[in-house]
Amino acid sequence: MAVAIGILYTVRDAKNETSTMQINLPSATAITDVTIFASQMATLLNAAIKGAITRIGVALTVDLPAGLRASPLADADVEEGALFQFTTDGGFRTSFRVPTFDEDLISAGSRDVDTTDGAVASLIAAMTAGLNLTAGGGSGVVEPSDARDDDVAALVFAREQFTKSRG
Amino acid sequence: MRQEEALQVISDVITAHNGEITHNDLVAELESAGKGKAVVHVLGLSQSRQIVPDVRATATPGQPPVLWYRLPGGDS
Repeated sequence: MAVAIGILYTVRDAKNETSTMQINLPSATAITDVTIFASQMATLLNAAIKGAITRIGVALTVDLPAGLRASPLADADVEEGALFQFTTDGGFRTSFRVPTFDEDLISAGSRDVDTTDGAVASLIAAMTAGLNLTAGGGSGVVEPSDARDDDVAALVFAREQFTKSRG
Repeated sequence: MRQEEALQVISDVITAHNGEITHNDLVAELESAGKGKAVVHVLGLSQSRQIVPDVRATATPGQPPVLWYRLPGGDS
C-alpha cells in the first residue's frame, strides 16, 4: 500500500515557540491539488487558532529503490556523521548532516571528507550541478536549492561531525 | 601540481575519451599514468565548471547514478 502524502503546518505562538501538525492526503493526489488543498486548509486552520502559521510543507513518501542495503552494517552509528555545507547562488549557506557516514571516506589524519572518492564526488556534484534524470524517466536535470529556493552552487566544506542521537 | 596544470592533464584525458569520462575511470587513468595529484583538483575544477560534472540517473532500477565529466561547450 502506498504511503499518504503529508502536509506539514508550522505554527508559532506568542512566545516564539513553534509546533508542527500534519494532515495527510491519499498518495494518488496530484501535486497541484496537494498545494491548493494545503493552501485552502491553512485558511481554515487560521480561523481556528491563535498562533501564526509560518510554514506549509509537503512530505512526499518515495518507494525505496532496489539496491539499498536491507539492514545497517554492524558498525553503523547515527551519532557518527558528516556535515556538508554549501553556498548558494545568492551567497547563502545551506547544509545537511549525513548520519552513519562511512569513516573510510574521511581523509587519513584529518576530519575532512575525502571529496575525491567517487561516492562523495557524485553526491557533491548532484547537489551543486544537479542530477540528470532523463535516463531514469525524468524530464532533465533537477538541481537542489536551499529553503529560500536559491540554487545550491558549491561545496564549502565536508567534515565529520559527531552528535547525540535522538530518543 | 597547480590547478591550471591539473586542468590540462584532465582535459587531455577527457579528450582522449571522446569528450566524456566517468569519475572513477578518470581517477583510475590519472593514477595509473602517475598523475594522481591531479585527482585532488577534480572537485574544484568541476565546481568552477572548468570541467563539467554530469550526474546521470540510470534506466536500470537499483543502479546508482553515475558521475561523468565533459569539457565546457561539449554536448550535454
